[in-house]
Amino acid sequence: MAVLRPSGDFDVSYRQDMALIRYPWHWVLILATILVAATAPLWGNAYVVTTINQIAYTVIAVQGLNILTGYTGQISLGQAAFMLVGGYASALLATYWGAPIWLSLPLAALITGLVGLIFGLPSLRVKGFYLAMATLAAQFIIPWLTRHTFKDYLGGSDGQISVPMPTLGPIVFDSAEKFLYLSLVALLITTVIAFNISRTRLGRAFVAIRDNDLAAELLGVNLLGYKLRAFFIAALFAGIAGALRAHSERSIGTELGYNLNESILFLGMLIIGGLGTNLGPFLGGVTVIILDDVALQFGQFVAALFPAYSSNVLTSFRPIFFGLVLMLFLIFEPRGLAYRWTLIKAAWRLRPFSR
Amino acid sequence: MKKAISMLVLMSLLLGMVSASFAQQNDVTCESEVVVQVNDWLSKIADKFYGDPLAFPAIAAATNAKAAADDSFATIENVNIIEPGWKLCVPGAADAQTLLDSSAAGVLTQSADISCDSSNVGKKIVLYQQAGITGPLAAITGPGLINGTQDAIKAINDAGGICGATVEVVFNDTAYVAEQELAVYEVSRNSDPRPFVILTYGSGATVVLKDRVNEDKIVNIASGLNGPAVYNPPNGYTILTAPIYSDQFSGFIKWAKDNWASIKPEGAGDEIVVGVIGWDNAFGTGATTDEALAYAESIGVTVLPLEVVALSPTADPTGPIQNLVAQGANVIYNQSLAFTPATVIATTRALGLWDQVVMGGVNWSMDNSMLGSLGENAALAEGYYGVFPYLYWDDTDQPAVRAAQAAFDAGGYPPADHGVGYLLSYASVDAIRQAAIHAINRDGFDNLSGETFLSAMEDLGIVSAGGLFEFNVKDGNRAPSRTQIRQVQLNDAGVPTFVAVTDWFDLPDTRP
Repeated sequence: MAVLRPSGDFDVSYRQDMALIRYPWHWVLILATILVAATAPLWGNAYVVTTINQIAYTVIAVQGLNILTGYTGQISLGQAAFMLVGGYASALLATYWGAPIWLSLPLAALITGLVGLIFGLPSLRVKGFYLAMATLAAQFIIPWLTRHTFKDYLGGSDGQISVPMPTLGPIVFDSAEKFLYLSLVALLITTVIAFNISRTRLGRAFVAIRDNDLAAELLGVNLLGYKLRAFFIAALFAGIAGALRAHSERSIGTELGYNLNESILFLGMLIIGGLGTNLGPFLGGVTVIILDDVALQFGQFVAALFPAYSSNVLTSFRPIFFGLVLMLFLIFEPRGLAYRWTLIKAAWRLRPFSR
Repeated sequence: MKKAISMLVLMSLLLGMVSASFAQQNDVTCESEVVVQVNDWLSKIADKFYGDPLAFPAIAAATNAKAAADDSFATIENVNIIEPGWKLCVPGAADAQTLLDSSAAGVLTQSADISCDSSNVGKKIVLYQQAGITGPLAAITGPGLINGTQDAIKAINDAGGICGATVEVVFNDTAYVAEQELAVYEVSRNSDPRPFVILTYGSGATVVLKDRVNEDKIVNIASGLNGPAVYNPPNGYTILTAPIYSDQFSGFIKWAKDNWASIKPEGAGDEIVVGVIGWDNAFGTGATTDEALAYAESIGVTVLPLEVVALSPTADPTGPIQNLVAQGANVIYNQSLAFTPATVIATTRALGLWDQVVMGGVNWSMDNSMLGSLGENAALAEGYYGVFPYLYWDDTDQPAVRAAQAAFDAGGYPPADHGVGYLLSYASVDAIRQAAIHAINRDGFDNLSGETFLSAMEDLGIVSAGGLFEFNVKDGNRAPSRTQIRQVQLNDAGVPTFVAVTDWFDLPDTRP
């Protein structure tokens, strides 16, 4: 194990340098988090369980966005639409082929990845705002297609289709408690993948493209190839997240959301959590979803204080509260919660001289 | 002699007329005559004679008919009040059915005063309600929903609860977000006591919960009137508070067709061309289903492709309106609510197209929330037609409305909440009371579950919701199928009111 020193990490071997889990307290933190999440059905009520499940699949989607936007610097406003693809793919595979979840989930992810590739193609030609517009196209085209084409399969104007309960051998995931474990296992796998991407050749190429794509190209990074890979992985993760959400909501379609708002919210989570860090999606996802619940309670509280304006307050409190929080974050915490966490760690190293 | 003969003929004619009129008055024959005892209710008597407590209006109607000719019979002014010693006429079963059918045609089913066979003092019944009282639609799904429920429950508890058991409600806000509806439902279904009925208010909730309530056997009294979600699979646990959207739309165009001569815009031809403006979601597209479009075709009404506006108070409907009028629309139907019909009305007026179209919409579009969105320009809505499957605050001649108004006033709620939301919840709770009592009488209090509750509702068939609207769970139905058409008219004070322009009529059946 590496030693915690004021000057930073001090590795004495390649093995240490490559280690994913670097300190004993990392183990403690990880195991504690897993333990808290996995025992939720024992200590929490159904609301807590469904919320943790929601956090789990949301974090997966944000992890995907993190690879694309955080590491590779390619802005995307279509993550929710890719979730829709994943959800539909898994639902149709399970409904018409009776595919079990271990098959339908990866297949759905793969299909979504391929769709992501298509929308990633413009990324070689356009950058920044222009790319944002190109990915925005996905957010409009995909929901439109689900509503207006293949009505018998995609639900048409109904805006949704039923999704069967996932099965894994004899286990039927028919309750929120059972489903939680499916989402947590998926989250564990995607987290390991995300960590590994960030410390290998792939991740370093992504970062090089983000920091200066011309320089990266001169260093021998194939821009189109790597950008497409980033899009593929981002959509792959969105596909997993979408499939998990579709199965846990037991229905999929535009009626249940998957709109531009959600795509922007994912971006917001990433910014709040910290772009380009592996911890960011976790911190951002948890913060935003819990904040959402707080806004819900707080909005009712504020409405009760001003009964004359109660219905206006109830209608607009959440977006105002949310916008305000996001703005304050951008002003006071522009590098996200993950950076704050780094600062806290540094301060701990330098104690008692941290100030 | 001639004079005498003609007198005789005249006399006999007169006599014949008199006896004919007598016969008419005595058309109702009493199979038995009953003298009211202490602790008698009309429904109790109906149950005894017909085995159906809800057949009581037949006894009331027969008794009142008899009383007109024979004052030994009582005159029943209020079916909830009968006095010991009154003589009632109980018609035969066939006559009773005729009376029930004829009385049902033009009016809403009235709330029944079903009595309890058991007393369950000290026990409690918990209802679970989930709605978006925050979020984008708070204006219509706002605090009125929970206030209505609580006031109705208070009234029931003050009158001794449901068979002695105290009623409580657990409310959860969902902000109209499907994920939240689901999370809240997960909590409710795991609660103790396990819910037998929940109340929800959105297409999202209807859709996301439909399979779960079927599996969990929990009745969902839903106001998201999504037809496909309710009838697929059939005989499910989702029961709607108003007709499904495609039925409403079909009923509206049928009414427009039947009354075209009197409502058509000046200069309009005989052909009816309907344009629909709706939100881009299941609600917005719910009117123009394949079944509804087939119905429109069958009665020779042209329906233009749906024009979509975004679910946002700032969405501009100018393009859709102009598109529809350019394609020859002379009827515009709004499949949206609150701010969107308001902007459609204001924009159509501003474009100078108001006189060229008949403007109307789905039931939720014609509500206090729409007038509220227009604000000081509420009078612009004058002339707007809406499908109206329930009574409203304007119907102050109805005792049911007066009772709701008294509860609303006692609560001291703001005028913005004086909409359909409050009435809907207030009335639904009364229907739950009747069905719960029937279930308790039949299966016992301890067996009160979603299963027995649903079968009790099916047993009752048509269940009045506080006399304000009615649930229809007859013959596989899951939604009411009768409505009025109402129009926004300005009263003497210049305030917009919703005035009925039709009697109650049956909607076309466009179930999927």
